[in-house]
Amino acid sequence: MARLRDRFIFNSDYPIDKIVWLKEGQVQMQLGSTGDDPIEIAHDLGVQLYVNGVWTIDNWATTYTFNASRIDGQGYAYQSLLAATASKVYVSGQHAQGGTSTFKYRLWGFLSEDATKGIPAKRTAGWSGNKLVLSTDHDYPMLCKEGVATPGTTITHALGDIPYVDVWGRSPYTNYGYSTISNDSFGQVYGMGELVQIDSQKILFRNDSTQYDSYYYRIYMP
Amino acid sequence: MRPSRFILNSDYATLKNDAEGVVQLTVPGLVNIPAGGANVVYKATLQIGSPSAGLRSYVTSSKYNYALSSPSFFLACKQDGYDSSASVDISRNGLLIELRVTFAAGYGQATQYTDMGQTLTLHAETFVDPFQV
Repeated sequence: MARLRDRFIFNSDYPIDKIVWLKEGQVQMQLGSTGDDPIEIAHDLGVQLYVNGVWTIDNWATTYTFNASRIDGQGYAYQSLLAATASKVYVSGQHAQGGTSTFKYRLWGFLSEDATKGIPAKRTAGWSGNKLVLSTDHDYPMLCKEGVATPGTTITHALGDIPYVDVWGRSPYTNYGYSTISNDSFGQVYGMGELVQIDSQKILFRNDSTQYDSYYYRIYMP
Repeated sequence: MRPSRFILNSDYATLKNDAEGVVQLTVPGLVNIPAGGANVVYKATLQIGSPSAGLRSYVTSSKYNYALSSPSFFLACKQDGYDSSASVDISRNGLLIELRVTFAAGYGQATQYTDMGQTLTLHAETFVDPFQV
């Protein structure tokens, strides 16, 4: 019988992100519109997926994260939406400059830590860059806490420094599930209010805005 | 020869953090845009990571005691004495991460922005492109 000391155990109190869904693609975007209906990409995970990613309209010369809006030139704006439910991912973009453009996207998705059981890792095969190879060449974000919060809730993390936080919000006005958040603000702007305030001890999900009825958050070690 | 590196492997994908950096941008408390003028843009850049990679960030302000993690947001201010806002966005142009604050020009008229003087600090970490073949 092997002694316990003969077994190698790698242990951490902090989970490492597990990406369970990856997708890249492109769509012709009609510019000058107020935004087409989002394209729908089916996924078969069967549980709520939380997606993030990057997009470009100039073949990756310039990239944006999702829900980044940009005022450019004389008020022209880029805007984007990225959201997901338990069965679909929704992607859309708009550009007020006119004409058409090729909107390219690269997406990756997480499940909540409670939901990862039973999801085969083979779903993310295909790109060598995404494989988890734990080595000393890279720093892996350590997930301290994750969960769902309702507006008006304060989550205490007590890390003593401001952590990196990913937040998705669910709008009561759409069926798109959880999307990366937008229209946040420093200070009150047109009654929109601040959405998610992060400090060295806590995260406050404000209830000033009716834009979202719940949030999913992932807090990483600062 | 003794291997110098420890490597543990899993089939699950993850985000590999390859760089982290901080950059500051000071926004003045008064911006005047003349009639027919263009938007006024302030920006600061940070060169880290690899192009088209993922980005996670947050921004703090000298005016507020909390941070925002949104990639774009608004700064409350006054425009010609009324409540208004400037737009803030974070983008990636090649290796440069840009933090931009844009004050929109008036529609053919002169306009003045006030009450928004502050220093923004962008904290950013980038990830190895998970779509790297």
